[in-house]
Amino acid sequence: MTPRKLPDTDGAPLDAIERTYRRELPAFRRVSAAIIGDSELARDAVQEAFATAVRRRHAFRGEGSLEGWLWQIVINSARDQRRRDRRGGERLSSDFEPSRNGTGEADSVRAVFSLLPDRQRLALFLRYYADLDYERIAQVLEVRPGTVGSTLSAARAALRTLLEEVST
Amino acid sequence: MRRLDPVDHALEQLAPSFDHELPFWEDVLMRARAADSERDPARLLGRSAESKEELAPHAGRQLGQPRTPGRRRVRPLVIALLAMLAIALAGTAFALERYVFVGDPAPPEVKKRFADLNRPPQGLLIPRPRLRPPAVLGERARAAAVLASSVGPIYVWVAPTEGGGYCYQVQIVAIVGPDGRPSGGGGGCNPGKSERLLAELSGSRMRDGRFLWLAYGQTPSAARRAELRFADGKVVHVPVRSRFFLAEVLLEQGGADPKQPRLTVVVLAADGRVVGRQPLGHLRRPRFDLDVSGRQPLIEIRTRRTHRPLRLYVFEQHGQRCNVVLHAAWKGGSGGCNTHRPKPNEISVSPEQIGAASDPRVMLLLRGEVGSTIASLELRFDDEKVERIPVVEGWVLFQVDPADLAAGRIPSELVGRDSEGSIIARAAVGG
Repeated sequence: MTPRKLPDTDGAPLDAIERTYRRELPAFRRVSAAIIGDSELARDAVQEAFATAVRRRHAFRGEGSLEGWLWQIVINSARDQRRRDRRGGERLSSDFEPSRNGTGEADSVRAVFSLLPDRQRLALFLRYYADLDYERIAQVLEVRPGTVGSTLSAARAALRTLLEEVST
Repeated sequence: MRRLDPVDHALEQLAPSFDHELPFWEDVLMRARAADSERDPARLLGRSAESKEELAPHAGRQLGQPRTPGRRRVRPLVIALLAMLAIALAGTAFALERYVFVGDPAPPEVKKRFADLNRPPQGLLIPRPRLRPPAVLGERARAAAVLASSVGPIYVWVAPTEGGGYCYQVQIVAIVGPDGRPSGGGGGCNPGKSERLLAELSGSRMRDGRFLWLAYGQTPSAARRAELRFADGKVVHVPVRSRFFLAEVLLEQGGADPKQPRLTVVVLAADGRVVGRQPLGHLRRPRFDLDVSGRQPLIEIRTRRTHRPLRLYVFEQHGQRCNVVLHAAWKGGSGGCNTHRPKPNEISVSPEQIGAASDPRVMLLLRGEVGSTIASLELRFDDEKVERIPVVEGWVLFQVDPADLAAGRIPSELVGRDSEGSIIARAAVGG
């Protein structure tokens, strides 16, 4: 059977979107999971994000990298998913595995991350899980590349302090 | 060993790795088209009327989102034009569609498999007791659930039965059968009409050794979403579409853990009422890994046609006794473990047919165990031919001569004798 071809238009080439999806899928999913707090919903968010990217690929102007543009869509999709999840008020807990020692450490970690400013948290996720360079992170977060380093430093310092407080 | 930075440690704990998951690009394209269809009614009408009617209330809805508003009025002329377009598209839309939507008709091979359920088993050398056929309407088989899982796409195909129930097949695309086609997942039938929650939990071993757990089933018609609830408080939310749900249940890799939480599926109506609840049991990896590397076979025979070795391994594992038969030409073996021990004068030997009766390469094996007082075993055919079957430490692995089968002789009875030659046990073959 021949798949129905989605017409290529100006903007982001469909095959380039697919290549990025296939190459970076674990990172897209992991960052989404960190944002949402649920791996199942993270998978769904990434699939939705790329469906959006496919539909809106003509809107890609080439002003930044395609990867950066895709990361923006994925992050927005994950945020939407998180908002829906919270608005529903149905969620009791995450589906992430509890910590091995059974002390609810994973819950504490999530709580600590939630105390960080959104930009710091995202910068950390993009750096740690996706290994993006500062320029790419800057594009995704729409900040100057020079501020990424300081944002990351501030995030790590704040986290370290918060983690120490939690553990004492 | 270098100690992990506490921030890195926290990041590791925050989100699991998805490194070994497979992409599902087809699902991305499917979603993109589905979104286009929502904006373009003509494309939606390109789907069959039945699927549109069935799926419109649920399709494409995200968990927690409100239902779509009621229909808008459309001019009669527009309706007529769209209907004409729908008729024109209906014959070709699915033929061109490679990707699977919830509600899509099943491909011909899936429909055939459903239809085969109504026929008595074909090609069996040893007839089995006839079960009542489910009266499944294979031609009406559709995708009831589609999942982008960690191992790629998974489909639940469902066909209605004449009695108002359904039969289902779970297709895990990543599992490929000997003929190169997608396989795995299994299936079953609930032939009668039911408003109850009928859920299942199944585990499948993937080629890379990982274990895939799936929870799926049919819900009462009022259900709009499902929750997989673990005894430790974790909840996984799952959408329900067209009365079906399908979810992957992820577990950490590792050995069998008796503390693995018990799982219950709860289904809820749109207003949050619980309309069904069913315990699915404990999530445990199978306790037995039928790996025989390093073990010595108890019995080795040569196949009658190609003279290749066929080996029976018997070993203890976790307090149970396991037996595995391996053939050089097979990718895997067949076997299992249990605590059953035959009584002193019991014959616990079963026929195992490999291949269809019409295939000249068909093999009929007899394998199993006999009780401790049975010193020798013989196979009797329906024409009174008798053949001795060797017994090794109480175990049997024997291939019925294909020449007997070709001559129309049917193995009918196993007879056990004690050390003095007296008959002390009888068992029908396949009985």
